[in-house]
Amino acid sequence: MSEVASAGEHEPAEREPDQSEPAEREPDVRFTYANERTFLAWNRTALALIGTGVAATQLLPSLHVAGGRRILGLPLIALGAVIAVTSFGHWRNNQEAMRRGLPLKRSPMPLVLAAGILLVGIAALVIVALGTS
Amino acid sequence: MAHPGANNDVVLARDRTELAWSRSGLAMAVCVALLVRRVWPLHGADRYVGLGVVTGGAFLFVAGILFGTRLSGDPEHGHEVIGEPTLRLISLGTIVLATVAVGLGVFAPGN
Repeated sequence: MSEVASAGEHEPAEREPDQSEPAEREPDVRFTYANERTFLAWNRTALALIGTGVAATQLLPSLHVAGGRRILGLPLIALGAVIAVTSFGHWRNNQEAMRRGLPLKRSPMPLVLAAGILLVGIAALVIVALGTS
Repeated sequence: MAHPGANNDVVLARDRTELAWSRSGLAMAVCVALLVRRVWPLHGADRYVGLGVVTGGAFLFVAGILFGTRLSGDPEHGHEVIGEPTLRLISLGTIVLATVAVGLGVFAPGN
């Protein structure tokens, strides 16, 4: 009769160091600075979007379309908020990847930004067209 | 023996980073000015709440800038790496300003 060895009878083998995870080390300071500058650039973009959105809701004259200024301004402000949130995560992911010597992941933010601005631009065109018709 | 040009590159990179911090501060100042201009015509408690929140957002941002621009040490043998808390302050300040802007856009009518 075969006996199933109980778990307690065996001394657990010493775990070998996990070699699947790359060792971490501080990256070249120039890459750290570059990552930091990228974060700041995204943040400035977010502030520019917020400022433009505020200006659209405040400084534009009343448009022929009801709520037209809000239609233009609020999406810009929201896009700025989204970029402010995602830029921090992007910085952290890049810093982690550089420490581990892994390739940097491509960020979806440029596409999101371009799509957002395109949509607001189309909305502005429609509003202007409706106002002149 | 380290190439002497490498140290220059690091110093110049640090200078560029400090300039980036300055640009970010200017962008924040312009955004705050626009928000204050938007908040000022409000009356009573709305004005003070709006100004308070804008000030809070600006304070978070400025605190992040002050921590972030405190660069010291020899870049070759050790530099002050900007930590997560500093950048988190920057992001949080921007989000607060965005929240104020959304609130004004939704609830406060424009001129």
